[in-house]
Amino acid sequence: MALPASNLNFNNHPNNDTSEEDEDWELLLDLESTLSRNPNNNSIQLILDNLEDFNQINQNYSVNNQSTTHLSNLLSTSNTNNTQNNDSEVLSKSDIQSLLNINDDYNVSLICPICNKSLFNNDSNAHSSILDPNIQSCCEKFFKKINKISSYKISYWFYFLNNHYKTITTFPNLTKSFFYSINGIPSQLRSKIWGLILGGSDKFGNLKNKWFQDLFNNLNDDNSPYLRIIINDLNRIFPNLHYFNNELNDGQLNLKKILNAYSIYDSEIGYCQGLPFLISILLFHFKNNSITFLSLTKIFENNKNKNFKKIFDKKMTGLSLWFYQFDSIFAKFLPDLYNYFDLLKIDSKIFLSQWFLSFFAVSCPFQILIKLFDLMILEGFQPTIFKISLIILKKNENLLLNIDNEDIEVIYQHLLSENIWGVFNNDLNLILNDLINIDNNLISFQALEDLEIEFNKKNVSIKEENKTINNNTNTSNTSTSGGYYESPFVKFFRYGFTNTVYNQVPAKNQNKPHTQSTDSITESSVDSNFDAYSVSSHSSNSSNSIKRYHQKSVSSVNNNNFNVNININGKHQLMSTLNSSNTSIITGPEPNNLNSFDNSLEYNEMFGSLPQPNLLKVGNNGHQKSSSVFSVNSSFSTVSLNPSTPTNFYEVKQKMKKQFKLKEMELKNQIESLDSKVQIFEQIIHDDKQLIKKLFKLYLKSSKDVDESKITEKQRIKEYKVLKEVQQRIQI
Amino acid sequence: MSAPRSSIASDTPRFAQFKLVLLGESAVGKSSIVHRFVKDQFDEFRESTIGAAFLTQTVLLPNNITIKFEIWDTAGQERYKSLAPMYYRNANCAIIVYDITQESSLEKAKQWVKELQRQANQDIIIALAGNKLDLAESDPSTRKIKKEDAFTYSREENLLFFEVSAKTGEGVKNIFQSIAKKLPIDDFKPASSNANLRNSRHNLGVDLSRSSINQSSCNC
Repeated sequence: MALPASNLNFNNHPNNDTSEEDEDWELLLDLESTLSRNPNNNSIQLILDNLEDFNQINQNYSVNNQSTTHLSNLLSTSNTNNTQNNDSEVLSKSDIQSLLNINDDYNVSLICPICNKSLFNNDSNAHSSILDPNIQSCCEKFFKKINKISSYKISYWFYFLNNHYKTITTFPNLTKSFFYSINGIPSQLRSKIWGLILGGSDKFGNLKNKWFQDLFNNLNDDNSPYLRIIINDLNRIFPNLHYFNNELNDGQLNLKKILNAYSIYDSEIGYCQGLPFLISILLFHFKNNSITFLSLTKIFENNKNKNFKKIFDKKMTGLSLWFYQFDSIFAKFLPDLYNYFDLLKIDSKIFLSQWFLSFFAVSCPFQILIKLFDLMILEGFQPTIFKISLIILKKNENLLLNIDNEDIEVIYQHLLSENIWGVFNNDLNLILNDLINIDNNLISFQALEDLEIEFNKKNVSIKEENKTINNNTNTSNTSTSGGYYESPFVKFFRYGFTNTVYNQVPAKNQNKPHTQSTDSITESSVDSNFDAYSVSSHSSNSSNSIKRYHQKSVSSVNNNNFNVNININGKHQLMSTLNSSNTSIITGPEPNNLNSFDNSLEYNEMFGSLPQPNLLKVGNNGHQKSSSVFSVNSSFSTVSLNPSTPTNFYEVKQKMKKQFKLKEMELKNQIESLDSKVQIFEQIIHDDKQLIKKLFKLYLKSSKDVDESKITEKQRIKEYKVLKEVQQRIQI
Repeated sequence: MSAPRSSIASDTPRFAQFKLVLLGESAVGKSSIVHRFVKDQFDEFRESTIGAAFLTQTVLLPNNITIKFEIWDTAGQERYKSLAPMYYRNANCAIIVYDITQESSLEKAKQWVKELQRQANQDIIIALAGNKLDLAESDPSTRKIKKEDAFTYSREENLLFFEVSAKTGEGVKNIFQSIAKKLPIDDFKPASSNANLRNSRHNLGVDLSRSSINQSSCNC
């Protein structure tokens, strides 16, 4: 096997009997320097990038200046591990040795490297370490061997558990070789390793932020609106695993609590089918609700994973970006297959949506999946998911290219089924080998970010293109003039990139100059609650853009929901105005704010068309809009107009103002009429009160008369009538 | 081929391929219906569908007609709705599934009918299928949607209507057979002229079973 990690022949290494920890450290450094001479050493960048972000540390930690680091240094520095009480305590080697001797159901991930078969039938056997009676000799030998882990492997994990940050940055190549080799991570330590990297637990496997326990419990006091669907799904997550296959088992009970808590905690995502695969794999290892919950939040909080979170949100807004990024990388990585798919009009989104949203859990054998998760956790989710997708396509390339042209559905069927893993013949080594050999520059965080910028720019240019088409053909754009509105996603799938697709510009890119726009005019400041109109003009030679931020002028409109409604009403009106002058309009609510009006609007209306955050950016005149605009609760409209009719914008604005005024008048009239009615009723009530007072006096007088027995028959009748009237009056 | 080619005789082998899409609320049993139809299997616990799954199955009609269904089995959760057009685009027929023990699922099914009538192929054949009949049969109190109500609705909207059980298999084949009979027969081509049937047998030569985790023996 050509795995670079095999440069490290663990078994032939002179067994280091010395108990001097510094010597172990030196030994690991030697190994590291051997590995770093490997031509693949640029590929550690993903690990370091990802790690840096997970720990939110901006130190420029140089990997090359580590040769003099000693154990004493290592263990005394607690810069990254924010464990409150445990900093001074250190896991000893014997602790780790004893940890390694624990047999538990993490064994389920053990695979014999010789025959590539899983050592245990199922997770319950793995839990009790019951080997299959029919086990082959190679597997049995292997099982005995892994129980005796060579000493420097122990040293490495000893350092790792005590200070994973420093260990990884000091030995990135060694780390990589451990993570990329079969059984490179001792399965007994896996949960601790994941917990440390994700920041969910400390080196002892305890919850890192104690208060999260309370938060978790508090969240579970309520029932999520998603609870019904969560319960429906509980027995549909890894039904082959003993831990999850019974509703009375811990697995399902805990999973329910975590999903319930998380869907309340994170209203942007709520509950999304697909996510339970991630959560259940974490839970299966942590076996602790709060740690799983904390790790999950840390994954999504990580800035590097910002687009990862978005693929699960309510409108799956991040998915179209992922498709774009992946397609670009795919075209570079496997041009033949890419062109072939293009020729057959195969829509890669169809299988990519399954792969991305399920972490391959739908098709991937479980023990391989765990190994893939090691890498996702170490190197970041998006790059690793992309890498895995690429090697699947690469491995299947020959098969796919040799299918008859007409048989598109065979290709789809193949790519959506577990058959994609068949080419690896269930051989984890092959997968890992392919993964480690991918040029990481293709999918580095920087590369992904560049593609994101490109994606956002492309949306702008596509929009301009659409506008040009509209001008030329004198037909109106279906997306803006149709009777109904489609979500950006529906559009994306329907028309691919010919229509505009929303994606949010990352905050840090706000400052980069826009490529196309040369002249920009900015008017008025940006308020935290604003309507923005952007007029971008376009001609054959130059493109000017006029951006205008229109501070909300209608003082009575403070409510977000109301605001959005008005936007949409305004859109209808805008469209009728502008269609006659060959312009396209892009209008829509601000995407960050979707949740707040999710319930108040029809799905289609909400995404009537797409907002273009790029257009909000002010050009070269230095008046930069702050990135906070994207986080405030606001909505905006964007209007693109033809340069020859710039006054249209003002007409539109005037019309909208008129519309508002008319509405205002209408409402005022209504209020007035209501007021007058109220007055009438008050008058009636007043009159009644007067009458009752009168009658009551009369009654008192008459009752006196009764006492004195001086009432005549006539008086009685009169009194009776009066009382009758009182009763009637009261009834009315 | 010995079959007469002059006119479309009743016994001329003919073949046609149609795209079918399954839609409906989450956990109503779309995948289970497909698996009952394609593999004649039922798993009590089936992993939720993410994105979509794709399967094919052929149906033999009288008069030597073979119909191959390309079945797109979609994810049911609301937020996956935006992915659906990708799958129902160009579909010839659709099965919209609801759960007769789940009141909300018929409402959701009606939404799908509306969406298909508005946005899918003009002549799409839509079947409405109420699943989990076995539950209602073993315990009538679990039934939340009356057969008559769903039937009346399907009449109004001109849909095929079935109540089925993917668990027992009751009525499942019937859906596909009935759809097959309604498909436009003019499109059918003589089987000999169409390579698809042969190609559809084309196996990629790989058959990895998901049960690898359960494999006990190794062949080294």
